[in-house]
Amino acid sequence: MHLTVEFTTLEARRLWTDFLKRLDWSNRHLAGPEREEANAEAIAHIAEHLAASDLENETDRLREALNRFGVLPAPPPGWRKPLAIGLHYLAIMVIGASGLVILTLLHMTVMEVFNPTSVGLYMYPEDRVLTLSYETQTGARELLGAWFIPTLLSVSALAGAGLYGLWRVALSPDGPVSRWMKP
Amino acid sequence: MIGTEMDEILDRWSSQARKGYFEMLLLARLKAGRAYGYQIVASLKQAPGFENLAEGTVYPVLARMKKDGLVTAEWIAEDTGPPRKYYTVTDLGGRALHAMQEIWRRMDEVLLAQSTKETS
Repeated sequence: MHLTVEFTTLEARRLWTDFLKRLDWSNRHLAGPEREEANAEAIAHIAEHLAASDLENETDRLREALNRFGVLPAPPPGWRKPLAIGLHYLAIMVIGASGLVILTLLHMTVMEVFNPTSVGLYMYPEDRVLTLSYETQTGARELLGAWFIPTLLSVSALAGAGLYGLWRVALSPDGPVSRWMKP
Repeated sequence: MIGTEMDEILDRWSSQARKGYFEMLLLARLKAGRAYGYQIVASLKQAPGFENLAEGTVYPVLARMKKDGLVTAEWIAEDTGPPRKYYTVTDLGGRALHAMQEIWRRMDEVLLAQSTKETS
């Protein structure tokens, strides 16, 4: 079932197009044919109202019919879905890569227990680059000493909490990004 | 208690009370004869508390009742005007209406009995 209603004025056409978009969006939870039928039924309702109205002006008639039908939610802007998809896949990559880094940090923490003289955070005197290493770095100074384990555990916990937050926002089915991805 | 507080309380209460009543009212309207959406809305708007009913809210309820087997629906082309989707109460819908009315009547009796106790 497919129904159309024609309007002559620009304002009425604009109102009608906006209504059709909102109507289709509000019925988005329905499957294809059911959605089309629900839309058609609402359009038939508005058409009945327009035919029964005493108002002379087409736009006023439509505005009255739409007001009585009730406010429908506006669909999200067109750019939101592609942005959400981009954020979703970016979050997968970030969580995957960062997760591997956290696992490495945790592994180094464990290895520090068995090999405290070699595992550490090193810095060479000539450059300012920090190096995490399982082996003693000749000519470099180890920076953390006994603080290696608590520091790495703290960094891992903070990074883990950050990744969990990112998962909640960008990947969880209840998160905003997942909701934005839905049609 | 100031007026606006009472209005808020009554608004909240009546919106809850209307939900169950609404479905019963829809079934009662359709029991009286098949009808299409616009016609149903016009009837419902005559009931107290439904004068300002947002007309679009009727359709999801009708769709749910159809899914539950309480009503059937059929599109019928008209000579003039748009085609109309007519709703008819099924046997199940008729029995459900009867049961709903019975529950409503008993609730009303209990409420009345409580009020009588208080006044005596």
